[in-house]
Amino acid sequence: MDKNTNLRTMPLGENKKNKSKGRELLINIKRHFPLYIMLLPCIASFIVFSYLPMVGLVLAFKEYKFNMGILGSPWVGLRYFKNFFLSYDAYRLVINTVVIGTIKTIFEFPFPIILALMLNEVRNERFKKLTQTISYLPNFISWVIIVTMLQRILAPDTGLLNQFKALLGGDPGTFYMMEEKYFYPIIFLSDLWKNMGWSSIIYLAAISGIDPTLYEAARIDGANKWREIWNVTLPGIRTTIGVLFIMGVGGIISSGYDQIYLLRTPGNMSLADTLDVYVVRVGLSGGQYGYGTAIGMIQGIVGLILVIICNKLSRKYTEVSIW
Amino acid sequence: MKRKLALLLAVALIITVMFAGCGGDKNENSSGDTSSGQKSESSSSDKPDTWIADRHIVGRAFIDDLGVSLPEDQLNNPVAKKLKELTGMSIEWQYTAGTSDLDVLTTAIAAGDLPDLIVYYLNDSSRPEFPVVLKAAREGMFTDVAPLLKNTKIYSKYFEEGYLPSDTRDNVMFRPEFNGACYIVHMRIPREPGSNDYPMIGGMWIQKSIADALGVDPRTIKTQDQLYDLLKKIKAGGFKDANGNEVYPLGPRIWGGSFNAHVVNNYNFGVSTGFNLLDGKVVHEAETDYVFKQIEFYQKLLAEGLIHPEYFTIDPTRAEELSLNNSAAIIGDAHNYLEIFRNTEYLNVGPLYDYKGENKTYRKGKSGYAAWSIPSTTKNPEEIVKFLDFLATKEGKMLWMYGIEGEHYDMVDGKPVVRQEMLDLMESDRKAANNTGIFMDGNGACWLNFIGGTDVDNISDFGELSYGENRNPDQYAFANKMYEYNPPKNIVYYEGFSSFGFLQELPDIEPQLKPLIDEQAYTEVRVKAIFSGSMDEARKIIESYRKQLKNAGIDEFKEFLLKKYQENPNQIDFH
Repeated sequence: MDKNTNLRTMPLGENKKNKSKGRELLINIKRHFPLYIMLLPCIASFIVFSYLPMVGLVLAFKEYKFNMGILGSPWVGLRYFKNFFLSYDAYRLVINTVVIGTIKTIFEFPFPIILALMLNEVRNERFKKLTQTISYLPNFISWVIIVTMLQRILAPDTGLLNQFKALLGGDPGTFYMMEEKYFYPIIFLSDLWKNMGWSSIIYLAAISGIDPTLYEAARIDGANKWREIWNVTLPGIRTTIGVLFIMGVGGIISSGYDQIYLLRTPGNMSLADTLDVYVVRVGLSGGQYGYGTAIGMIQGIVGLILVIICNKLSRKYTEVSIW
Repeated sequence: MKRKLALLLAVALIITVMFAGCGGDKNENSSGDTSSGQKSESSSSDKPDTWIADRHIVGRAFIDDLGVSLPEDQLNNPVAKKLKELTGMSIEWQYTAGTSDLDVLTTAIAAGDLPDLIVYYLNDSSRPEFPVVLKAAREGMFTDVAPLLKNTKIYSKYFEEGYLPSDTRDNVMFRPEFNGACYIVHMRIPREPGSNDYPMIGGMWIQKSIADALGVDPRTIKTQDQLYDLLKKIKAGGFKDANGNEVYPLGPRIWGGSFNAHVVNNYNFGVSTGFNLLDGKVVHEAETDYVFKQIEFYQKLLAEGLIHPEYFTIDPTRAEELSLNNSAAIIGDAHNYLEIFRNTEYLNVGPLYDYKGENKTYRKGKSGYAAWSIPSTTKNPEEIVKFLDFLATKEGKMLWMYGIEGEHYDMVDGKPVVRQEMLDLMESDRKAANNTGIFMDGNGACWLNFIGGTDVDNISDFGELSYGENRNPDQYAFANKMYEYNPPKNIVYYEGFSSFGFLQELPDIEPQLKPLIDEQAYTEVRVKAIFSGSMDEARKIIESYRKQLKNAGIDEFKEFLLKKYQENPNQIDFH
């Protein structure tokens, strides 16, 4: 079964000389002008929200003065980096961040794929659409609301879960939000519930791009449903999975801010103190922009290195890569 | 925790400003007593004497959730229109909803995103806003308003000997380092000592029916053991709440979970953001045994079901629900002006003795509440200062506190008597009350009180402490009764900086130590220890915290504090 050739996009002008590359791009732009126009807002938003703010990274090396601005403030070299790495808490913050980052990027990773595969097999279109809609709706609920819901569901004595336990004769006094051992499960399940449906959309889109004749051929070859999934669907979305995984790896060193900050209680704070929360507390609320920026920069650099390594390994062993 | 604190402060603000007085000034145009709307013809033009300039000011308020108490139309409500007529000036507030005001303040200053005027919370120099605005002042972000204030009717009093509290004068407004310049102007200064004192009392409150049923006089509860015994009795009594469920003997603070140091007041040593003097040395409470006593007491209550399990962390909405349903026999913390006390009678408990075994009430001396600054980018700041000065005069206050004479209130014997329909509106339709632009003690529009409320003396200016009392003297009878039941005794007024405020003077250890010793962090460590299940575990947690403090440089900070204290004992609030 020739499963890859029609699924992978060949890089533009791969086998032509540089000189003709530019011309070909121009021709392409002319031919697909509306598409390129549609790309513009995306490029603009990246420039405005991702690249321009990078100028602010110089703050990591400066003592920020309100009246001198980012560029005028005096340099302090690597003082903030030194401060951070010498601080008593750096190790714990990094470990906590990596653990939560791993839970969110690695452990949660397969679930949207599984959901997409399941949805793909649903034959009743109405049911499929309904399920899909219900599954991605939580993505639009803000963490503040989700955590408020959790506080009520998990409250001791009066919470839904504890009431249910009491009905079964259990002790309704468990304070889930305050006990360390429930912290990771709460993080994992709430994040999964919120994001799984939404993340599955991209896989569903990839699945719908698979050539139906491949399934036909597989069935003629005698493949059952499992075989079809294993030998047609999964290989068909292999590139998508690979690219998303590589990009996700960059997130291991960041835990996300709002969910953790809101779920943090004195009981679980030894696990919930992560770099993201720390940056906001120290950097923003404390007005120590340089220090906060330095820590954020460390996160960014480590994330980038992880992505590069992962991309290299992936290209070598699976031939899937971002670049 | 931050949100809870913010909410608490917001409520405290409303109540505090309820008693906003107005600074009638002897030099003031006497028109204030007759009709705030009358125009005095000046010789050279048809503009009133109060005219300043035809100008629109944009202000930014770093006040949590201000949006709910602004008039929907800030320019066309009755107060704004009259203000424009009298002064030529109009003002409009920008604010950021739903975000911590401190974060927004810090970001706005850092980004230089400041309009003509800013206001922020600053009840004293220990507020977390203070280091931020001080840095901004030092780095030239604000206009020096000292020369402008000197020529005003009300603010010129700030220069009179003994008018400002020393914290306001020496730490906030006229810091020696500024050589007479002034960048931060403190509000809510009482005209005379005590002229802003209202019968307000906080602390624990027990349902009267429960205290009666147990035959307990809650005022006699002075020690931790007595409190514990009372809670045991309540539990044994099996009292029920409005829904028929058993009450929690001790419930959380009405504004949401918190540590409530006054509930363990016998052991509350760290009065200056955790620090205090012990045998001539500065120590942090976490380094003493007091912290273990606090933890042990709370652990005992928790283990025996004498305290609401979410006492420390419950969100404000559910905390209020608890109180509305009378689900806590004792509310951990509240004050007597809350509406819920109109319906159910509660009695003040204690207060418990302090750690020295004394029955004293420590209060910050004459103190401010909010503050304003004029960014250095603002053109013609003198116009703004004149405008703010007008708002602080008796005439100005009459306008934003009472509205328009003949429409919202009538003058009877020289005192404003608000119309009954305004009191009804205040009760029935908060939004409509807001839209009048009238302050109504915080039940109406909170927008000019931050910049007009200073030189406070309501009784002498308006003949009433709170809005509407001239019309209905029983307006706050319930609150007065609660106060009279157990008024604070042995009040000791103190002044001086809180220890935390000095940390910024040690920039090398500040980044490390600040997130460890701020109030929230220290509370979290204690709560964690309380929930650890045993004293052994709690000890480990505190030991580890002590180690962190050491590593973060607390010893250097303590030495610094001691030095400061020895230089001038009045500049730190140790007691």
